[in-house]
Amino acid sequence: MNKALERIKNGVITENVTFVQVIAMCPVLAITTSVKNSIGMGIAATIVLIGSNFVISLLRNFIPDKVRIPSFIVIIASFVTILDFLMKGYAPTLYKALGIFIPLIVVNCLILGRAEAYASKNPPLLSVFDGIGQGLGFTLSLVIVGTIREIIGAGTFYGLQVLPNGYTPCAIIVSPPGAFLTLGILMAILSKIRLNKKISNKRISDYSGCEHCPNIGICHKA
Amino acid sequence: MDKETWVPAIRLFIITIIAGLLLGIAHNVTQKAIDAKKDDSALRAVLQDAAEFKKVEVSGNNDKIKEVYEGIKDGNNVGYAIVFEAKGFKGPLNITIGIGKDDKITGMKLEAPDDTAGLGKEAEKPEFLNQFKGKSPKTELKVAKTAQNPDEIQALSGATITSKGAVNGVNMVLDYYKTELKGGQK
Repeated sequence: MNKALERIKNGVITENVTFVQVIAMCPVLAITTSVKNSIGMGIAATIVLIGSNFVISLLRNFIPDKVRIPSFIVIIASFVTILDFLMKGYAPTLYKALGIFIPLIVVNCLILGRAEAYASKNPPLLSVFDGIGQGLGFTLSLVIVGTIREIIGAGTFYGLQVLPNGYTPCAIIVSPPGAFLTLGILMAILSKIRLNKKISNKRISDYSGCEHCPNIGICHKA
Repeated sequence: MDKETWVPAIRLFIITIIAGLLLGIAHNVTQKAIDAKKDDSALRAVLQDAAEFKKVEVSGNNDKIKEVYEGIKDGNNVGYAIVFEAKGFKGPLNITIGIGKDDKITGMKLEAPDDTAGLGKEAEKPEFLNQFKGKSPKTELKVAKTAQNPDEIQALSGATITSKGAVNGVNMVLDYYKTELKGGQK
Protein backbone atom coordinates (compact mmCIF):
# COMPACT_ATOMS: atom_id res chain seq x y z
CA MET A 1 0.00 0.00 0.00
CA ASN A 2 2.95 2.27 0.70
CA LYS A 3 3.97 1.99 -2.91
CA ALA A 4 0.53 3.07 -4.02
CA LEU A 5 0.61 6.16 -1.80
CA GLU A 6 4.08 6.91 -3.06
CA ARG A 7 2.70 6.83 -6.64
CA ILE A 8 0.02 9.37 -5.74
CA LYS A 9 2.45 11.70 -4.02
CA ASN A 10 4.80 11.30 -6.96
CA GLY A 11 2.08 12.32 -9.40
CA VAL A 12 0.77 15.24 -7.41
CA ILE A 13 4.05 16.74 -6.19
CA THR A 14 7.37 15.12 -7.07
CA GLU A 15 6.64 14.65 -10.76
CA ASN A 16 3.73 17.03 -11.21
CA VAL A 17 2.90 16.92 -14.89
CA THR A 18 2.54 20.65 -15.42
CA PHE A 19 5.02 22.24 -13.06
CA VAL A 20 7.74 19.60 -12.98
CA GLN A 21 7.50 17.56 -16.16
CA VAL A 22 6.15 20.57 -18.12
CA ILE A 23 4.17 18.40 -20.52
CA ALA A 24 0.52 18.50 -21.61
CA MET A 25 0.62 22.28 -21.62
CA CYS A 26 -2.05 22.93 -24.28
CA PRO A 27 -5.04 22.17 -22.05
CA VAL A 28 -3.39 24.02 -19.17
CA LEU A 29 -3.21 27.12 -21.33
CA ALA A 30 -6.45 26.72 -23.21
CA ILE A 31 -9.22 25.59 -20.90
CA THR A 32 -8.25 27.25 -17.62
CA THR A 33 -10.51 30.25 -18.12
CA SER A 34 -12.67 29.06 -15.23
CA VAL A 35 -12.38 26.72 -12.27
CA LYS A 36 -15.35 24.71 -13.50
CA ASN A 37 -13.70 23.94 -16.84
CA SER A 38 -10.45 23.10 -15.08
CA ILE A 39 -12.09 20.56 -12.80
CA GLY A 40 -14.05 19.06 -15.69
CA MET A 41 -11.00 18.69 -17.88
CA GLY A 42 -8.90 17.37 -15.00
CA ILE A 43 -11.43 14.71 -14.08
CA ALA A 44 -11.95 13.71 -17.71
CA ALA A 45 -8.20 13.29 -18.26
CA THR A 46 -7.83 11.43 -14.95
CA ILE A 47 -10.54 8.92 -15.87
CA VAL A 48 -8.94 8.28 -19.24
CA LEU A 49 -5.51 8.01 -17.64
CA ILE A 50 -6.62 5.50 -15.01
CA GLY A 51 -8.39 3.39 -17.62
CA SER A 52 -5.62 3.46 -20.18
CA ASN A 53 -2.89 2.84 -17.58
CA PHE A 54 -4.80 -0.18 -16.28
CA VAL A 55 -5.44 -1.76 -19.67
CA ILE A 56 -1.98 -1.00 -21.03
CA SER A 57 -0.42 -2.48 -17.92
CA LEU A 58 -2.55 -5.62 -18.27
CA LEU A 59 -1.52 -5.96 -21.90
CA ARG A 60 2.12 -4.99 -21.35
CA ASN A 61 3.35 -8.48 -22.17
CA PHE A 62 0.97 -8.90 -25.08
CA ILE A 63 1.78 -5.65 -26.87
CA PRO A 64 4.86 -6.12 -29.07
CA ASP A 65 7.50 -3.44 -28.63
CA LYS A 66 7.49 -2.58 -32.32
CA VAL A 67 3.84 -1.56 -32.41
CA ARG A 68 3.48 -0.28 -28.87
CA ILE A 69 2.76 3.35 -29.78
CA PRO A 70 -0.13 2.51 -32.16
CA SER A 71 -1.45 0.04 -29.60
CA PHE A 72 -1.33 2.66 -26.84
CA ILE A 73 -3.08 5.19 -29.04
CA VAL A 74 -5.85 2.75 -29.97
CA ILE A 75 -6.46 1.98 -26.29
CA ILE A 76 -6.34 5.64 -25.24
CA ALA A 77 -8.56 6.72 -28.13
CA SER A 78 -11.13 4.07 -27.19
CA PHE A 79 -11.30 5.37 -23.64
CA VAL A 80 -11.61 8.95 -24.83
CA THR A 81 -14.39 8.06 -27.26
CA ILE A 82 -16.33 6.21 -24.56
CA LEU A 83 -15.89 9.19 -22.24
CA ASP A 84 -16.99 11.46 -25.05
CA PHE A 85 -20.23 9.45 -25.45
CA LEU A 86 -20.82 9.42 -21.71
CA MET A 87 -20.32 13.16 -21.34
CA LYS A 88 -22.51 13.91 -24.34
CA GLY A 89 -25.23 11.80 -22.76
CA TYR A 90 -24.94 12.69 -19.09
CA ALA A 91 -23.10 16.03 -18.80
CA PRO A 92 -23.93 17.99 -21.97
CA THR A 93 -23.16 21.42 -20.47
CA LEU A 94 -19.65 20.41 -19.51
CA TYR A 95 -19.28 18.66 -22.85
CA LYS A 96 -20.10 21.89 -24.65
CA ALA A 97 -17.73 23.91 -22.48
CA LEU A 98 -14.76 21.59 -23.03
CA GLY A 99 -15.56 21.20 -26.71
CA ILE A 100 -12.61 20.14 -28.81
CA PHE A 101 -10.43 19.38 -25.77
CA ILE A 102 -12.22 16.12 -25.07
CA PRO A 103 -11.20 14.44 -28.34
CA LEU A 104 -7.79 16.05 -27.94
CA ILE A 105 -7.19 14.07 -24.73
CA VAL A 106 -6.18 11.32 -27.18
CA VAL A 107 -3.02 13.19 -28.04
CA ASN A 108 -2.43 14.56 -24.53
CA CYS A 109 1.22 13.81 -23.80
CA LEU A 110 0.40 13.12 -20.17
CA ILE A 111 -1.55 10.01 -21.06
CA LEU A 112 0.76 8.62 -23.71
CA GLY A 113 3.70 9.62 -21.53
CA ARG A 114 2.47 7.61 -18.54
CA ALA A 115 1.69 4.63 -20.78
CA GLU A 116 5.22 4.66 -22.13
CA ALA A 117 7.06 5.59 -18.94
CA TYR A 118 5.10 3.68 -16.34
CA ALA A 119 2.16 1.48 -17.27
CA SER A 120 4.00 -0.52 -19.92
CA LYS A 121 6.61 -1.56 -17.34
CA ASN A 122 4.66 -1.96 -14.10
CA PRO A 123 1.83 -4.13 -12.71
CA PRO A 124 -1.81 -3.03 -13.19
CA LEU A 125 -2.67 -1.98 -9.63
CA LEU A 126 0.35 0.30 -9.29
CA SER A 127 -0.37 1.70 -12.74
CA VAL A 128 -3.88 2.58 -11.63
CA PHE A 129 -2.43 4.47 -8.67
CA ASP A 130 0.07 6.13 -10.96
CA GLY A 131 -2.88 7.21 -13.10
CA ILE A 132 -4.74 8.56 -10.07
CA GLY A 133 -1.65 10.45 -8.87
CA GLN A 134 -0.74 11.94 -12.21
CA GLY A 135 -4.38 12.74 -12.92
CA LEU A 136 -4.82 14.48 -9.59
CA GLY A 137 -1.59 16.38 -10.15
CA PHE A 138 -2.86 17.50 -13.54
CA THR A 139 -6.25 18.48 -12.08
CA LEU A 140 -4.55 20.37 -9.27
CA SER A 141 -2.39 22.40 -11.66
CA LEU A 142 -5.39 23.14 -13.87
CA VAL A 143 -7.39 24.29 -10.85
CA ILE A 144 -4.55 26.51 -9.60
CA VAL A 145 -4.20 28.23 -12.96
CA GLY A 146 -7.99 28.32 -13.39
CA THR A 147 -8.55 29.87 -9.96
CA ILE A 148 -6.06 32.65 -10.52
CA ARG A 149 -7.39 33.40 -14.00
CA GLU A 150 -11.03 33.30 -12.99
CA ILE A 151 -10.61 35.49 -9.92
CA ILE A 152 -8.50 38.14 -11.65
CA GLY A 153 -10.17 37.90 -15.04
CA ALA A 154 -13.81 37.63 -14.05
CA GLY A 155 -13.92 38.36 -10.32
CA THR A 156 -15.58 35.02 -9.65
CA PHE A 157 -14.67 31.62 -8.24
CA TYR A 158 -16.55 28.64 -9.63
CA GLY A 159 -19.06 31.11 -11.03
CA LEU A 160 -19.67 32.81 -7.68
CA GLN A 161 -18.81 36.46 -7.21
CA VAL A 162 -15.85 36.76 -4.84
CA LEU A 163 -14.51 40.22 -5.58
CA PRO A 164 -16.66 43.29 -4.86
CA ASN A 165 -18.81 44.65 -7.68
CA GLY A 166 -16.58 47.71 -7.96
CA TYR A 167 -13.76 45.52 -9.26
CA THR A 168 -13.30 45.77 -13.01
CA PRO A 169 -12.38 42.32 -14.31
CA CYS A 170 -9.00 42.22 -15.97
CA ALA A 171 -10.14 40.59 -19.19
CA ILE A 172 -6.66 39.92 -20.56
CA ILE A 173 -6.13 37.25 -17.92
CA VAL A 174 -8.97 35.10 -19.25
CA SER A 175 -7.92 35.61 -22.85
CA PRO A 176 -5.06 33.54 -24.36
CA PRO A 177 -2.18 35.93 -23.48
CA GLY A 178 -3.33 35.82 -19.87
CA ALA A 179 -2.82 32.06 -19.84
CA PHE A 180 0.84 32.50 -20.72
CA LEU A 181 1.28 35.32 -18.22
CA THR A 182 -0.30 33.36 -15.38
CA LEU A 183 1.57 30.18 -16.14
CA GLY A 184 4.86 31.99 -16.62
CA ILE A 185 4.62 33.75 -13.27
CA LEU A 186 3.61 30.53 -11.51
CA MET A 187 6.54 28.65 -13.06
CA ALA A 188 8.92 31.40 -12.02
CA ILE A 189 7.71 31.27 -8.42
CA LEU A 190 8.01 27.49 -8.31
CA SER A 191 11.48 27.56 -9.85
CA LYS A 192 12.55 30.05 -7.22
CA ILE A 193 11.28 27.78 -4.46
CA ARG A 194 13.01 24.79 -5.99
CA LEU A 195 16.22 26.76 -6.41
CA ASN A 196 16.27 27.60 -2.73
CA LYS A 197 15.77 23.95 -1.88
CA LYS A 198 18.64 22.88 -4.12
CA ILE A 199 21.13 24.89 -2.09
CA SER A 200 20.36 22.99 1.08
CA ASN A 201 20.72 19.67 -0.73
CA LYS A 202 23.34 17.73 1.18
CA ARG A 203 23.15 14.52 -0.81
CA ILE A 204 25.75 15.49 -3.35
CA SER A 205 29.24 15.35 -1.91
CA ASP A 206 31.36 14.77 -4.98
CA TYR A 207 31.54 17.69 -7.38
CA SER A 208 34.15 16.42 -9.79
CA GLY A 209 33.10 17.12 -13.37
CA CYS A 210 30.65 19.81 -12.33
CA GLU A 211 32.50 22.47 -14.29
CA HIS A 212 31.26 20.97 -17.60
CA CYS A 213 27.65 20.65 -16.48
CA PRO A 214 25.18 23.05 -18.20
CA ASN A 215 23.39 23.40 -14.86
CA ILE A 216 26.40 24.89 -13.13
CA GLY A 217 25.23 28.05 -11.41
CA ILE A 218 21.74 26.67 -10.82
CA CYS A 219 23.07 23.71 -8.86
CA HIS A 220 24.79 23.90 -5.50
CA LYS A 221 28.29 24.13 -6.95
CA ALA A 222 28.16 27.62 -8.33
CA MET B 1 7.48 -13.59 -43.91
CA ASP B 2 9.16 -14.14 -40.62
CA LYS B 3 7.70 -14.11 -37.16
CA GLU B 4 9.16 -10.70 -36.38
CA THR B 5 6.83 -9.11 -38.91
CA TRP B 6 3.51 -10.81 -38.53
CA VAL B 7 3.28 -11.30 -34.78
CA PRO B 8 3.15 -7.53 -34.05
CA ALA B 9 0.77 -7.03 -36.96
CA ILE B 10 -1.67 -9.68 -35.76
CA ARG B 11 -1.52 -8.50 -32.18
CA LEU B 12 -2.20 -4.91 -33.16
CA PHE B 13 -5.06 -6.20 -35.30
CA ILE B 14 -6.53 -8.05 -32.29
CA ILE B 15 -6.27 -4.92 -30.14
CA THR B 16 -8.04 -2.77 -32.72
CA ILE B 17 -10.78 -5.38 -33.29
CA ILE B 18 -11.53 -5.57 -29.56
CA ALA B 19 -11.41 -1.78 -29.22
CA GLY B 20 -13.81 -1.46 -32.15
CA LEU B 21 -16.23 -3.95 -30.63
CA LEU B 22 -16.18 -2.22 -27.26
CA LEU B 23 -16.78 1.15 -28.92
CA GLY B 24 -19.75 -0.27 -30.76
CA ILE B 25 -21.24 -1.50 -27.52
CA ALA B 26 -20.55 1.80 -25.75
CA HIS B 27 -22.17 3.67 -28.61
CA ASN B 28 -25.32 1.57 -28.40
CA VAL B 29 -25.57 1.95 -24.64
CA THR B 30 -25.05 5.71 -24.53
CA GLN B 31 -26.99 6.64 -27.67
CA LYS B 32 -30.29 6.49 -25.80
CA ALA B 33 -29.04 8.89 -23.13
CA ILE B 34 -27.63 11.21 -25.79
CA ASP B 35 -30.95 11.28 -27.64
CA ALA B 36 -32.90 11.73 -24.42
CA LYS B 37 -30.72 14.72 -23.49
CA LYS B 38 -31.91 16.50 -26.59
CA ASP B 39 -34.89 17.41 -24.49
CA ASP B 40 -37.18 20.33 -25.10
CA SER B 41 -36.43 22.28 -21.92
CA ALA B 42 -34.79 25.03 -23.99
CA LEU B 43 -37.81 25.17 -26.28
CA ARG B 44 -40.16 25.26 -23.31
CA ALA B 45 -38.21 28.09 -21.73
CA VAL B 46 -38.55 30.32 -24.77
CA LEU B 47 -42.14 29.47 -25.70
CA GLN B 48 -43.94 28.87 -22.44
CA ASP B 49 -47.43 28.75 -23.91
CA ALA B 50 -46.76 25.56 -25.82
CA ALA B 51 -47.62 22.19 -24.34
CA GLU B 52 -45.78 20.20 -26.97
CA PHE B 53 -43.46 20.80 -29.86
CA LYS B 54 -43.61 19.46 -33.36
CA LYS B 55 -40.53 19.57 -35.52
CA VAL B 56 -41.01 21.40 -38.79
CA GLU B 57 -38.81 21.03 -41.84
CA VAL B 58 -36.56 24.04 -42.36
CA SER B 59 -37.68 25.55 -45.64
CA GLY B 60 -35.62 27.69 -47.95
CA ASN B 61 -31.86 27.36 -48.04
CA ASN B 62 -30.69 29.05 -44.89
CA ASP B 63 -27.92 27.03 -43.29
CA LYS B 64 -27.88 29.22 -40.17
CA ILE B 65 -31.30 27.99 -39.10
CA LYS B 66 -30.82 24.62 -37.49
CA GLU B 67 -34.20 23.49 -36.24
CA VAL B 68 -37.73 24.85 -36.30
CA TYR B 69 -40.45 23.67 -33.94
CA GLU B 70 -44.12 24.46 -33.95
CA GLY B 71 -45.49 25.09 -30.47
CA ILE B 72 -48.84 23.42 -29.97
CA LYS B 73 -51.39 23.72 -27.21
CA ASP B 74 -54.78 21.96 -27.35
CA GLY B 75 -54.21 21.25 -31.00
CA ASN B 76 -53.65 24.90 -31.89
CA ASN B 77 -50.47 26.59 -33.03
CA VAL B 78 -49.26 29.00 -30.35
CA GLY B 79 -46.05 30.07 -32.04
CA TYR B 80 -42.67 28.82 -33.11
CA ALA B 81 -39.38 28.00 -31.46
CA ILE B 82 -36.38 28.35 -33.72
CA VAL B 83 -32.87 27.10 -33.06
CA PHE B 84 -30.27 28.99 -35.01
CA GLU B 85 -26.68 30.06 -35.14
CA ALA B 86 -25.40 33.62 -35.08
CA LYS B 87 -21.91 35.01 -35.21
CA GLY B 88 -20.19 35.81 -31.92
CA PHE B 89 -16.83 37.45 -31.38
CA LYS B 90 -14.92 34.17 -31.45
CA GLY B 91 -17.23 31.42 -32.48
CA PRO B 92 -20.86 30.75 -33.13
CA LEU B 93 -23.67 31.76 -30.80
CA ASN B 94 -26.25 29.02 -30.42
CA ILE B 95 -29.57 30.73 -29.92
CA THR B 96 -33.05 29.40 -29.32
CA ILE B 97 -35.80 31.93 -29.79
CA GLY B 98 -39.54 31.73 -29.30
CA ILE B 99 -41.97 33.75 -31.37
CA GLY B 100 -45.57 33.85 -30.26
CA LYS B 101 -48.76 33.94 -32.29
CA ASP B 102 -48.81 37.74 -32.01
CA ASP B 103 -45.36 37.92 -33.70
CA LYS B 104 -43.73 38.99 -30.44
CA ILE B 105 -40.54 37.42 -29.17
CA THR B 106 -41.55 35.29 -26.18
CA GLY B 107 -38.13 34.37 -24.97
CA MET B 108 -34.56 33.72 -25.92
CA LYS B 109 -31.77 31.46 -24.80
CA LEU B 110 -28.20 31.91 -25.91
CA GLU B 111 -25.03 29.91 -25.59
CA ALA B 112 -21.67 31.41 -26.47
CA PRO B 113 -19.33 28.46 -25.97
CA ASP B 114 -16.23 30.14 -27.39
CA ASP B 115 -16.68 33.68 -26.15
CA THR B 116 -14.65 35.16 -23.35
CA ALA B 117 -15.95 34.94 -19.80
CA GLY B 118 -16.79 38.41 -18.52
CA LEU B 119 -17.16 39.82 -22.05
CA GLY B 120 -18.96 37.90 -24.78
CA LYS B 121 -20.20 35.30 -22.31
CA GLU B 122 -22.28 38.02 -20.63
CA ALA B 123 -24.66 37.63 -23.57
CA GLU B 124 -25.83 34.36 -21.99
CA LYS B 125 -27.25 36.25 -19.03
CA PRO B 126 -30.92 37.20 -18.75
CA GLU B 127 -30.00 40.90 -18.36
CA PHE B 128 -29.06 40.92 -22.03
CA LEU B 129 -31.54 38.36 -23.34
CA ASN B 130 -34.62 39.78 -21.62
CA GLN B 131 -34.26 42.91 -23.73
CA PHE B 132 -35.52 40.93 -26.68
CA LYS B 133 -38.66 39.77 -24.89
CA GLY B 134 -41.89 41.24 -26.20
CA LYS B 135 -40.20 42.90 -29.16
CA SER B 136 -41.93 42.74 -32.49
CA PRO B 137 -40.01 45.13 -34.70
CA LYS B 138 -41.61 46.55 -37.80
CA THR B 139 -38.28 46.79 -39.53
CA GLU B 140 -35.15 45.57 -37.81
CA LEU B 141 -33.69 45.53 -34.32
CA LYS B 142 -30.65 47.74 -33.84
CA VAL B 143 -27.78 47.77 -31.40
CA ALA B 144 -27.31 50.92 -29.34
CA LYS B 145 -24.98 52.06 -26.60
CA THR B 146 -27.99 53.00 -24.52
CA ALA B 147 -31.30 51.71 -25.79
CA GLN B 148 -33.89 54.46 -26.11
CA ASN B 149 -36.23 53.44 -28.90
CA PRO B 150 -38.33 50.30 -28.68
CA ASP B 151 -36.46 48.68 -31.56
CA GLU B 152 -33.07 49.08 -29.94
CA ILE B 153 -31.08 46.55 -27.94
CA GLN B 154 -28.45 47.81 -25.54
CA ALA B 155 -25.04 46.37 -26.40
CA LEU B 156 -22.95 44.66 -23.76
CA SER B 157 -20.06 46.86 -22.81
CA GLY B 158 -16.85 45.37 -24.13
CA ALA B 159 -18.69 42.86 -26.29
CA THR B 160 -20.13 44.94 -29.11
CA ILE B 161 -19.36 42.35 -31.77
CA THR B 162 -21.13 39.56 -29.92
CA SER B 163 -24.09 41.83 -29.19
CA LYS B 164 -24.33 42.83 -32.84
CA GLY B 165 -24.00 39.21 -33.92
CA ALA B 166 -26.88 38.19 -31.68
CA VAL B 167 -29.07 41.06 -32.90
CA ASN B 168 -28.26 40.36 -36.56
CA GLY B 169 -29.10 36.71 -36.00
CA VAL B 170 -32.43 37.61 -34.45
CA ASN B 171 -33.21 39.90 -37.38
CA MET B 172 -32.42 37.11 -39.79
CA VAL B 173 -34.72 34.72 -37.94
CA LEU B 174 -37.54 37.27 -37.72
CA ASP B 175 -37.23 37.69 -41.46
CA TYR B 176 -37.36 33.93 -41.94
CA TYR B 177 -40.38 33.75 -39.66
CA LYS B 178 -42.22 36.39 -41.63
CA THR B 179 -41.51 34.95 -45.05
CA GLU B 180 -41.45 31.21 -44.46
CA LEU B 181 -43.49 30.40 -41.38
CA LYS B 182 -46.11 33.06 -41.05
CA GLY B 183 -46.48 33.62 -44.76
CA GLY B 184 -46.47 29.94 -45.54
CA GLN B 185 -49.08 29.03 -42.98
CA LYS B 186 -51.86 31.14 -44.30
